Amino acid sequence: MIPLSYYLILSGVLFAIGMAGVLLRRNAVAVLLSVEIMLNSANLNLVAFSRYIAPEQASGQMFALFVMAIGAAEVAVGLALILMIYRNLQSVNLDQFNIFKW
Amino acid sequence: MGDTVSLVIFFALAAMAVASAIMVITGRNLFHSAMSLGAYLLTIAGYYFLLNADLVGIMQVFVYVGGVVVVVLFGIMLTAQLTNVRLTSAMEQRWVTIVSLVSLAGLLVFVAKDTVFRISQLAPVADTTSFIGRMFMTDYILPFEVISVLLLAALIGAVIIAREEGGK
Repeated sequence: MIPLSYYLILSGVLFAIGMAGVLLRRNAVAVLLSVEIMLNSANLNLVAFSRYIAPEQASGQMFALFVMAIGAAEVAVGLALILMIYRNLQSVNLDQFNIFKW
Repeated sequence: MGDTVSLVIFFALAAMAVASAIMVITGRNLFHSAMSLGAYLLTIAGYYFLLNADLVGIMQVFVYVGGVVVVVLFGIMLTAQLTNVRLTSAMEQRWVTIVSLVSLAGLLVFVAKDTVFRISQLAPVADTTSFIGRMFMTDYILPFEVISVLLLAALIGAVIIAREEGGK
């Protein structure tokens, strides 16, 4: 059987890649894509733990399904917000979303 | 499935996942980024199948590859003007970001490598669909109902936020 630590290392690396996207990209849609990468790497962790620590309960799989529902809701709301801001500012650059600043 | 076969599958999927994730965050054309995200999500679904989580893998393909990627493509097309331009304002924080993220990944790898987990030898659930369906209706009934309300609220909220102003 593949060691559990392989899965943990892989999902840690993928999480770091997603976070690099969140911090480096300035396009709001690209940031949303990177958040999806992070959510999925965390999900991989949940399912791997479920398979190796308590395979007869499958509780990690339940959590993964809940995270998927949250992720879908997040994309819907996030894209609606981006569309609204785009309609008002004609831009999806996060550096220009500063109208709350004083 | 033998150990060697699953190891080969694991590393092939790992290479694809890391490559497509890097393509998502470095792609200059957002369409290419969205397509690489689709490939990334498919490799994650492959891992779910490798981990005996059939239902989660199927749901990954349905919900993410079939739903989220399509919604993201709609979002890209509706905000298309500026999306092909690489905006350069991010470069000031590039090195700080890379250094801190490499150390984060290093810390996670270090912890994962040195921790001893109590691995269970039991067989995984064979019929995940009926098992998870039963769990949703018994032990997890409250989170299940809460998340349905949350999804409904999020969808109504998305429609209201994205609607044209003026109440037409």
